[in-house]
Amino acid sequence: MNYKMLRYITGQLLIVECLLMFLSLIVSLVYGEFANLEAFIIPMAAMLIIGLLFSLKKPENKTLKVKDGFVIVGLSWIVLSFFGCLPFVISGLIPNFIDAFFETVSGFTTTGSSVLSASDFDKLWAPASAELGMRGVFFWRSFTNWIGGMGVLVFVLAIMPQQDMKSSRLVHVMRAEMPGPKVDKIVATVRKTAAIMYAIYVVMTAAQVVLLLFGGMDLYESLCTSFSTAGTGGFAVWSDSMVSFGGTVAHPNFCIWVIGIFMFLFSINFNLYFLVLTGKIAAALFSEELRWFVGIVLASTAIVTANLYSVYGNISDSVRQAFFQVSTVISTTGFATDDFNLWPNISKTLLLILMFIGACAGSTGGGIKVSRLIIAVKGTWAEIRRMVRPREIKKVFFEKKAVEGDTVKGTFAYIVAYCFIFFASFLFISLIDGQNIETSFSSVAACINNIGPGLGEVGPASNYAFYSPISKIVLSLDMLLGRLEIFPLIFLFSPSVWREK
Amino acid sequence: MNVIIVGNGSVGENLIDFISQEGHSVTVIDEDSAEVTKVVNKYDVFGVCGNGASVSVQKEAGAQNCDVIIAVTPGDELNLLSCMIAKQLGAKHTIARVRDPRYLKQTGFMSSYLGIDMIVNPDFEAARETARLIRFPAAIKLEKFAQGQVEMVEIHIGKNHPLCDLPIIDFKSKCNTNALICMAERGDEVIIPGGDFVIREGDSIFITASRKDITDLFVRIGLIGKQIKDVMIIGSDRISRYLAPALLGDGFRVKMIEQNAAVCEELAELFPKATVICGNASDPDVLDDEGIDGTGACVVTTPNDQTNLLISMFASTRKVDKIITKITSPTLAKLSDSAGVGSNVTPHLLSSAKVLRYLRGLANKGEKGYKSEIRTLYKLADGKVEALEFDVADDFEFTGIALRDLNPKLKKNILIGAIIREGAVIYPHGNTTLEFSDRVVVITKVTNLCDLGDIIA
Repeated sequence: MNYKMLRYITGQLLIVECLLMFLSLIVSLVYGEFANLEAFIIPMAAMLIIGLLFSLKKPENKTLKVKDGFVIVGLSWIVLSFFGCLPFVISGLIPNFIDAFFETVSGFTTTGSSVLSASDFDKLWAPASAELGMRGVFFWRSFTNWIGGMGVLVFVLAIMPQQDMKSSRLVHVMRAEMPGPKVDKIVATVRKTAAIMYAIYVVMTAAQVVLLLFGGMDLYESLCTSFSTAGTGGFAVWSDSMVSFGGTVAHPNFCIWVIGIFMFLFSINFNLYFLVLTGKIAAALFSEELRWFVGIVLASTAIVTANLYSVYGNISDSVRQAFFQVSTVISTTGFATDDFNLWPNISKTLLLILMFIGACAGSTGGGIKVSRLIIAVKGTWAEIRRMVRPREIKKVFFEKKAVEGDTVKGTFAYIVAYCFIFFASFLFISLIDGQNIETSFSSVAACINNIGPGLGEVGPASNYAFYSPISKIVLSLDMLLGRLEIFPLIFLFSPSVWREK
Repeated sequence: MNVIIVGNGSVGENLIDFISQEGHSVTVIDEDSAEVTKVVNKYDVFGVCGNGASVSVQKEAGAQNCDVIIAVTPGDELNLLSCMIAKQLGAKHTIARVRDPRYLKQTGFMSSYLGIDMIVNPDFEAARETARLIRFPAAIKLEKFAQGQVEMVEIHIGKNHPLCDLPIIDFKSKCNTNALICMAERGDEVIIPGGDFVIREGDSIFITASRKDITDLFVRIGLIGKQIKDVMIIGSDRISRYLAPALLGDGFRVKMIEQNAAVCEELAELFPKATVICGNASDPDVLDDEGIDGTGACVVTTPNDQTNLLISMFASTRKVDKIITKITSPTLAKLSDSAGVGSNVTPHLLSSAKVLRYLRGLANKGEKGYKSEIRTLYKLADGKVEALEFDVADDFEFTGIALRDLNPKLKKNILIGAIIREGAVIYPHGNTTLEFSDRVVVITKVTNLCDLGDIIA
């Protein structure tokens, strides 16, 4: 374990987080929320001091191993969430530290599960000059979605000086943080890859901001909503998510379509956008994962639309609601334009299944990932064939390439670990809190897949505040495990990694 | 002509044999001095020991003044490099053997930019021949003339064969066909048959006709059974790697059997649609488990001739419609023929014929000034017979003469097999004449025809 490098990167990370928080401070200043400035100033000062101390001395040996990459990512995200929750505590929005930690982890992991009740949102919309003005804090809350979407270490990599990158094998860090069964650089250097990814991310976010402004949102609403959409997070700035948009937006249906489509776009593998940028449009369109993903979205939308026709009684409402909700669940965002808790069972069941499928690899979405499921299904089929034809050699093909045996095994291992963690958490929170099966099951599903709202007591109209502190910690860990795809945290907490010289 | 041959493998030696017999002066370059001594003693050639891609070795072999250099070492890259160097030194024509499937797509590039005049690929030729045989299973051998307008098929006369004991003179009337039996092989003897020749059991006969006439004939005498749908390929050399995609593209079901697990992985990756089986094909149990019984065609191309022969013989004890065996050694090929297990494919003979055709074409233009260029050349019956295709040029003096009158002037053992005039196939008889710009298929035991004029005694 390269402790010096771990310390150095953590230091860099804290400085970056301090800079990112600075934006929220500006928002607070703009809205004149002077009573709340210390909510940002205190954590920023702490991060800056610790960050500078940690990165004062550059490590001589910068080489990182695969394992180091996992550990750095796992630890960074916990550190990130620890400092990130301080503004909520200090401002008094979420005075309880564990609640605030839950909310922040939920933000960074782009889950969007909230402990905030409707009355907390009143503080956001309170007059700016009043003691209660919380626009800066809520901006930070939505901004965590955006930071966590692409990954904060990827951002650190994108801005790290080139000479620090030499010989340090930071690709392991990138691999550990970016979602998907197999992450590779799209250009020769990690730094450039990270920079291109972020550039695509920023441009797409900006496009959405502009469209939402056309839809009648003000700049603040539009920015916060776009941040949550881009990271496929799902923190809204209204207590009822997107049901009424606070009643102030001129063209709510237009906004719903824009958000729905952008959630879909942000859950597509970003490498495909790079292919499009480099002119290989046909290659991007023929991506196997994309075709499966689009197929799943269209089929689910069709089924839910048919099922919802009895609820809404007309096609346009049914299609809009169905597409938005399918998009929000499969992209693992977790906005709501209606309380789908009250929808017919077929739609609810389908949405619950979509939670597990999740988005494409290499996107900002969570879940098991479409590509992983394709590989797992094909790999299982190959194993079944092998049972009856022991001599036959059959390769699993994905994206027109043979998948290496290790990748297939890794995928199986991932799914087994995922199921194990899922059921352990399900059992645990059922024992501790004793909620009904629907609530407990969908809580864990919504957290580990980074969706946000679940069914039953944690439906879109409710929140997670009622859970006991210990369950909130378990659910926070589930969110981190889901976002970082299990292995970084497992390595972080396995003693052998730390004992080893 | 001065010819340099780099590499003395099976193709190399085969070429040395054929080319030196045709009266060219041949220089052989090989790294193995024992091999060089061996060929120098066996054939009338000059030998140089060394690396064919070395400038000094090439100079010693006389590359500056040579007409043709033929590089047929086992290494594709060495062959290409040898040819490029020779070209720079002054060799007029270069022929390289390139076998790697990955280079197949860039042959055009290699000819135009690397200065390689001809690329021969024995395995590719063998795969093409094999695919032809699978599509036309009644034939043991199938050659094409004039872009496929005329074909020559070899069929084996087994017991109870419909053509058994039939005199040639009755062939046309009995089978109601225009097709021509142009050659017969009986034991070691090759006969260009006259009307009184009677087809016997054990013979192999060669028939030339248009594809349609051949198909009609086969249907009439009941040789065409059901079409083959599935193919089992045993062994994974380059032939199978050319063959499998061709067959898969034509909609055949392909099963490949290979012993080496790593190679199997590679095959499974290359050909996702094929069924790849990892197992030892010389184990009868493996073949039976994998359903050799009832397979349409079985192609055996392991690296070892003997193994191939044994596997094919085993396959012939099961119900397999067509067995095609790759055999490199001419002796074993004969043995396989007499065992009657099916067709043989000999890759290096296929490419030798291609090289010879090219050389004779060069000799025509270069020395004698003939114009009736060889279009196609096939070596048949272990090289004893050639089938050639010529264009009738304006310097051919015997146009307009009926074949009946022309025949006495011809050299012995020469037969005009077919004439293609303005896109139509003419089956020659006594009144047929040769005309300017005809294309003529000649079957002959005389093995150094360079020009149509050479058929005249």
